[in-house]
Amino acid sequence: MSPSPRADPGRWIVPAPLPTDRRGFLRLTGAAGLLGVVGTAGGLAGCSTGNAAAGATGATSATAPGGGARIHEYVPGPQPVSGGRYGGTVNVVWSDPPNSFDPAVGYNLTAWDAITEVVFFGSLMAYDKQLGGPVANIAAGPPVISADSKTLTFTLRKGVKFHNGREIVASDFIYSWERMLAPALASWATSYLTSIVGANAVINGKTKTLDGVEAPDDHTLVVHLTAPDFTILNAFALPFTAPVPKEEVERLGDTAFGERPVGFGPFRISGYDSAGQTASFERFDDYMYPGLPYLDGVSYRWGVDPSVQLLQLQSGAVDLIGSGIPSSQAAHVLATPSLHALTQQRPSPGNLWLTIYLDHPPFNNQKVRQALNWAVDRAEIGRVTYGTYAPWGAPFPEQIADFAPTFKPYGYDPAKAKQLLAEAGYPHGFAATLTISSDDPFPAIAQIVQAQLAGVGVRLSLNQVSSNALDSLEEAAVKGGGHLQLDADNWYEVQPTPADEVDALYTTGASSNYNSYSNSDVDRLAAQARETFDQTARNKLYAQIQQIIGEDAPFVFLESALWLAGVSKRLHNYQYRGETYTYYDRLWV
Amino acid sequence: MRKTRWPGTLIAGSALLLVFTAIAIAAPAFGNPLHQNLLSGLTPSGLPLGLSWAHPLGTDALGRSELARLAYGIRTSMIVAVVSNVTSIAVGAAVGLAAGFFRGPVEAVLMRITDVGLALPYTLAALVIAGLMTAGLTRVIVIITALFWAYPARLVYGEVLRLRHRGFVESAEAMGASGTSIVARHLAPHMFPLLVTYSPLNAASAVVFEATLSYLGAGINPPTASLGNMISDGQSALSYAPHLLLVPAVAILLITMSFLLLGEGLKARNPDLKRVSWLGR
Amino acid sequence: MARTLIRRIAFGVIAILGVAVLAFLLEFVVPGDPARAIAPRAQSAAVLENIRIQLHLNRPLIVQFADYFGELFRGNLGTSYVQRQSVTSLIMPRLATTGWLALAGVVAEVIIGGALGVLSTLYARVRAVVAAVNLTLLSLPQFVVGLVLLLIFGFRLHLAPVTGGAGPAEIVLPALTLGLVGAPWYAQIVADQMADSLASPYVRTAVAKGLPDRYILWRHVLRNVLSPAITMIGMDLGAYLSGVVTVEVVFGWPGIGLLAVDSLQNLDRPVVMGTVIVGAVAVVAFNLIADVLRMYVDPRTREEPA
Repeated sequence: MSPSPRADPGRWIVPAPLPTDRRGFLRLTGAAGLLGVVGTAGGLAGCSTGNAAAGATGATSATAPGGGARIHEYVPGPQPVSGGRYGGTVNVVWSDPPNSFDPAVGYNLTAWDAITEVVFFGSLMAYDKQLGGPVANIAAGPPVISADSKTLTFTLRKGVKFHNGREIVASDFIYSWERMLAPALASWATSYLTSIVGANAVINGKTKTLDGVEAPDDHTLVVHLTAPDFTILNAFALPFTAPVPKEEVERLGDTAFGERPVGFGPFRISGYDSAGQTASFERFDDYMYPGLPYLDGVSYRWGVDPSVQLLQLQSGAVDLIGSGIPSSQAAHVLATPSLHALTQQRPSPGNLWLTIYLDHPPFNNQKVRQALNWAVDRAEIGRVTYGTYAPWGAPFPEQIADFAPTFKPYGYDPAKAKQLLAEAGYPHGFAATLTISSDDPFPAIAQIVQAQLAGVGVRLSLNQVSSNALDSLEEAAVKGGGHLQLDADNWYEVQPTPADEVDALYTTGASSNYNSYSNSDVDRLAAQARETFDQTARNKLYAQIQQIIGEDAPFVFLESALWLAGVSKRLHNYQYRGETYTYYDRLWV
Repeated sequence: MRKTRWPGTLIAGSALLLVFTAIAIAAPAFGNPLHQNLLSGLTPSGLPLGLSWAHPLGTDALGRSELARLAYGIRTSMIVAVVSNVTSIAVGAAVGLAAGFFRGPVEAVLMRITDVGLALPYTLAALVIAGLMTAGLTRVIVIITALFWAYPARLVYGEVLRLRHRGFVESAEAMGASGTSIVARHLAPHMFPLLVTYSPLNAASAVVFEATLSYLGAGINPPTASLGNMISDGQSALSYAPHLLLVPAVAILLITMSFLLLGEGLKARNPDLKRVSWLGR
Repeated sequence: MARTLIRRIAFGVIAILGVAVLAFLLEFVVPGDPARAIAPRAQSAAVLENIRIQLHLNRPLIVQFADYFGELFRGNLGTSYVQRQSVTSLIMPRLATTGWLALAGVVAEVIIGGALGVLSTLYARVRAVVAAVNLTLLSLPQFVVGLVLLLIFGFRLHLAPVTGGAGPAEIVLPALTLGLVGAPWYAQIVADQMADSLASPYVRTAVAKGLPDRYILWRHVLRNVLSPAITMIGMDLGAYLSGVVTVEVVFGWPGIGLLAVDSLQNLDRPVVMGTVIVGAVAVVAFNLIADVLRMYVDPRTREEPA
């Protein structure tokens, strides 16, 4: 069946604690009502049945004592990795087709799942454990950081192969990053690399060469930054910095490469079905982590309606619901014991909030904004989100590694809200419009908030538009048009650090800062934090930022996200991270 | 066929329509469709309530009275049926009359535009137009008018041509009647029986189309109650609250049926008009 | 007849062009930025601007219009913004899939409708029942029929697959939905034409001559039924091919309608335009084919009405 794991003592990798933290939020378009909240802290137990330690005597090719295979090398990501049985395929079902399997271009959920953990696996680095930051992956160890923190030197592992058999060398990274930054590819992720010297020149089309990266030999990569920036290490764990083989890209062309990518991950693409609705991946025997993956293959099936996905899970036609259980289905799941038994909760750092547009009264008054935060009963929202969100009245997700907050989250205190409103000069409340997208779960949450705010005299009228229309309104708002007063948004991290939210939502002129929030202290602290490679010191700065933003209340902070997975009983050791999705390499059946 | 003044279908259809009109007018008497009872309107685990004395048709996922939402949904459907029926037929009749009367280039242009109107894929065009406007009754009426006018235009055009063939227009012109008076006094009155017989079918299609649009999210969105979006909400609740799907579905069925019965009844009253092809969509 | 045909084809082409222009203008008025739909996580305005440039979105409307229609006349429907492949390659397989459903749906509605029509004509006792059935079927929106069928046969009885695929097993319920919803129209045609011809002098003569019933039905009645039936089948095929959106959405049938809905959501304009144009072509083409067939079958209809 499958080769037995090769124990290679020379490949012990001790995970080096990186001095850098990972932050960054990834904002997903609202599709499928993604949820992700940390239900329990730290590493969560795998799937419903026991894993490694349970002594699986039925192992088909157990090679280690105690049953289940043992993986000697440390593999980044949620643990454990060992204890699996070889063989079998897993069927994953999705709503949408992947937009592309090209790691520089793929962005929707179906594509992201495949380019983070299936066809590719991280890049130079990869995220570690359930909430941890980037650790070495294709890099043999953490980078050597120069004294001025502007030069990073990576030594690459030897013998990491692409699916076509060729070894990955340092120049592959340069080629891939030049390709990703080039304007013709129109990658969405180019701004993650702007701190590399010369990146902007490539992005603007002035040159094809990325000056700030050198490959003195095949296994050494030197990266020069324009200024210290710890987030670059997070970018090096994400698929858009993954190496791609030049010969294959040139042979296939960009479009075909997006359909038949050649990567280095635990699975390679083996084909599609005739209707173009299913993609199959097969085990890559020369994977960089010997012994993995356990599965023979993974198959993705898309174009299936969420309610049908649940049915397929129940009947055993599929093993995993790729994008999790959306809030619209969560009630059904709650009410059906047989389905309830197939769900698992995982942390998925993200937030949901109401954006307050600050340019006009009454919203330019901090007391009014704080009043709105006290006027919302977040737990009641939970009654109609059926456990898919957790109440959280503060900026940043609830669970962050190595983070000691000082800000006390908002709760439900309508008396205090009314008092603040009166102090601000609105004893009888006021009227406003809440604009929301029609994607789940915004309409339901908006209706509840509308009813709750009416209790303190704030009379909301709801305006529901398509998510694209809402995007346009938000962009117009930045330029002074759009006439938005309140809208609802959510955000999902791709980096487990507050930097992602801070740098995208809260700093002056940030890319997703639609209500034009601007606070010079926040800007100063954020810039300082970005240059701080020491995680503890950096998180102290973010705690200060959280305090300021919390008091300033540019948003009505509502919920922290939860991931509700739909996993069949057949699967063991289901592991998931909000930033990178399902880990198929350590999954077995 | 025996010509009856009051065929059974006409009576049945009219009676049902009267009931629905009464419900539509008296909708507020059935309760508040927007009021959420998150505590008393849901089970302890947060699921909708079934039928009971307090809530004769149960509650929906946000604890709102299903009975009230049904009444308001019926009101929406009746408004759509009447208003969009009138507007689409008015536009269509105007185009058809103009094309048939003026002939020449006017006719050619108008008929080509009508062809475009007939070749448009309905649902897709509706979804595209829906993206342009904010959700609500106005949007639905605009969409239905924009998509439904072409067929009556064709019908009216055909009828005008038939009248021309029979010399109506020529003789009127010979008597010295002016253009508008010909249209108004000699042509238009002949359209009425045609259009009156056609409108119940048109109204029924409008009701169904509004429900479809709201189901797809391109019509009326929650919290406003519409039979279409109630069905959409009810679909996901089917396993534990089937009444949320069944109640609006039965309502649509009955409303549409009543218009169709009315149409059948009108046709039965006047068999000559059976030649009106009901190959209409 | 040839002149009529040429005129009809010319009008059809004009209609298709008109639809294309209308769709183009509408699509550009719809609020939303395709660049944002492609790069939701873009962290800087520069990235979005670059995407817009690559997609030629920064050019003036007139230029984009000219570009698009220039390509259209060369048979090129453009490239999808989201999927990075040619629109034609995206649409064609989906069109075929919808084609199967359209065919199956027409077969279903002709069989069901025809049966209902024949039953109601030949057997007076069931006439009221058939009328009631027709009325009910006409009163139900397509998506409600689809949902009910899905829920009963798919979810409760587990008789039909709900995998959302496109195979012979999965086509049953959606085709049945189309068949049930369309049946009353065919029932009406069949009943009317049968009633008319059964009352006609030709049939009276045939009966008097002692010809067998089946022969009479076949030669005299069927011919009369064919003519309007063919027109209707043509209209239906055209309508279904241009996107049976609701049925495809309810059953997850991966056809052109579902593609259009998804593309609308993503502001993937080239694909939306492509589906609308292909749909209009289908409508016009099938109506034309149906008219030609009808003229062939029934010479009385060869004269083009004014």
